[in-house]
Amino acid sequence: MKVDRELVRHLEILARLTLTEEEEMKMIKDMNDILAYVEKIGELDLHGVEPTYTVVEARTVLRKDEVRKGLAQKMALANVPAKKGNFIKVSSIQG
Amino acid sequence: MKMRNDYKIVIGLEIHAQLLTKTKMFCGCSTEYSFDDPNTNVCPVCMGMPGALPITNEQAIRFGVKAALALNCRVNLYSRFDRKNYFYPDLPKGYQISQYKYPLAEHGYLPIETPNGEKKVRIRRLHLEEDAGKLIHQSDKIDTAEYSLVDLNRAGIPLAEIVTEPDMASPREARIFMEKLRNILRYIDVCNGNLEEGSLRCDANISLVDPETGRSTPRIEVKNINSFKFVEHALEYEANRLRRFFEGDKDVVRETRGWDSKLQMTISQRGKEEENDYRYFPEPDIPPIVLREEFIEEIKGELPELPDAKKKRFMQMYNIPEYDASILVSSKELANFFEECCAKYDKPKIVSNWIMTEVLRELKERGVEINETKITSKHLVELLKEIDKGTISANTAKSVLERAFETGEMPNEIVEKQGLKQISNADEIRKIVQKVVEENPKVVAQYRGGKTKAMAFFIGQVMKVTRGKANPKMVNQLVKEALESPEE
Ligand SMILES: [Zn+2]
Repeated sequence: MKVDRELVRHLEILARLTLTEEEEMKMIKDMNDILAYVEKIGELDLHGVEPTYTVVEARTVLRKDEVRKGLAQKMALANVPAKKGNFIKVSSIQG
Repeated sequence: MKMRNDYKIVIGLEIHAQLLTKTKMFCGCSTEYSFDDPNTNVCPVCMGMPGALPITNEQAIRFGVKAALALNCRVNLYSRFDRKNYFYPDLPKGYQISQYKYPLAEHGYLPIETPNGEKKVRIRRLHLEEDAGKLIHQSDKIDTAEYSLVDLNRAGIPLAEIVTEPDMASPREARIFMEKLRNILRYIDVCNGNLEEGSLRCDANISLVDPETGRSTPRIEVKNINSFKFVEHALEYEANRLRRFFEGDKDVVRETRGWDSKLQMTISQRGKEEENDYRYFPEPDIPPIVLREEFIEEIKGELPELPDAKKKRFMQMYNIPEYDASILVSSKELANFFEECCAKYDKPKIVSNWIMTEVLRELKERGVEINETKITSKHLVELLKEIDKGTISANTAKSVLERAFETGEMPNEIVEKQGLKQISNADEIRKIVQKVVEENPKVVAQYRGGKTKAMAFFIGQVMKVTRGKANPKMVNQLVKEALESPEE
């Protein structure tokens, strides 16, 4: 897999980000470096090895349907960048 | 050019059902929420804070399995969660935990009654996922800074997503399917099935095929369908719009459209979702769900009698027509009400007649289920017994029932208080008949001259005098007697 300008632009749309040309160039380089590093693993012969989906032992862990107190409203909203009343305020994603 | 209307309509549905668990899918936060008090049932897990660990709700798995079994699905002993990645402010983690590659259940079906007979709609899959938060858009003006408000109380509520095969051949069939699905989910107590409030949601895929050439229109996804009526309206609108494709309309392209119930049309949501690239990958924080056969058998054993089976039993046990039975089982509460009445009153067809007319009309007017009214089976049974005894006429009984719906008073009380008791005393009625006959010699003459229809006039007069309380059978008989007896 090769990261190019087209792919980065696609990811910008998905992530709802707009990068400058300079940032895009940096992103292309960084991501290609990361992929090259990870691709090392491709050298292994994994023929016949089942994919690992989880490092947790394959045992079902379930929780009883009992209410547990979560965060107090004030705490929950303590770190949000913007509020209105007790809502989290975000810039509109319409249009 | 004349529009052809022999195109084949192909409809598939994607339904999201909020499960009636006490807590959310992956955290212990309560699923109760009201928009008046936002962000109160939240925790680090459902707010997507780093380092939080989701743990699957056992009851959500049970409800999912229950729904799957009721929809004749094969439950997979191995299923798994994946991350569906997209950015939207109502999705705090930047991904939704869903099931993609290994869903909880597959290969089901639901038989529906269509105008052309019974038909099986295949269920492709049923999987579990978490709901997103609630987003409220503020200000529609373009010149002011727009923003949205987020409430995460809904974020993380368990959803069962049910995907059908494209087996429905008309908007009507899609509606019938949705109504039946809702009924089943309510029978098994896993979802309250409220389309208007969004606890049950329906998206539809629709396309048209030209049977001569095999050519197909692009597929349209229709969203925002929040009532059963709109399932039909939105798809009818869309089917008509799609026909234009075969006449070369270039505006008909593959896209997502939203139903606007005010404008009664679908509107393109192009741009909103131009990119559907969810980059699913396995959720590393949640171990796979491995179920035992015994667990599934146990849940199978918990399944209540489902609408189709109940309908058959009603027809046999109570000897009522299929039409009656299918209406009675169309709501679990109504079916229970019918059976409670029949346990105390031994004429099922009469009970059924009253439920299908008077009771259902009241329920429709009030927009409620029978268990949400002040009426119990005791009310209806008492009413029917009073009619049998002749204390009140069937007509009076209707207004007594109306009153009982309003106040919850027992029928006897209402009859007593409002003096509605039927006059069944022959002497009393005879006196009134006599008087009416004496006061209208001309009409008597007409009757005796062969105009037998004049009898209705006398009956009407007697009823008027008694304010509808006279026993109609007796009035009939006594009027006839009086008119036909030789003149004194
Ligand atoms: Zn939570």
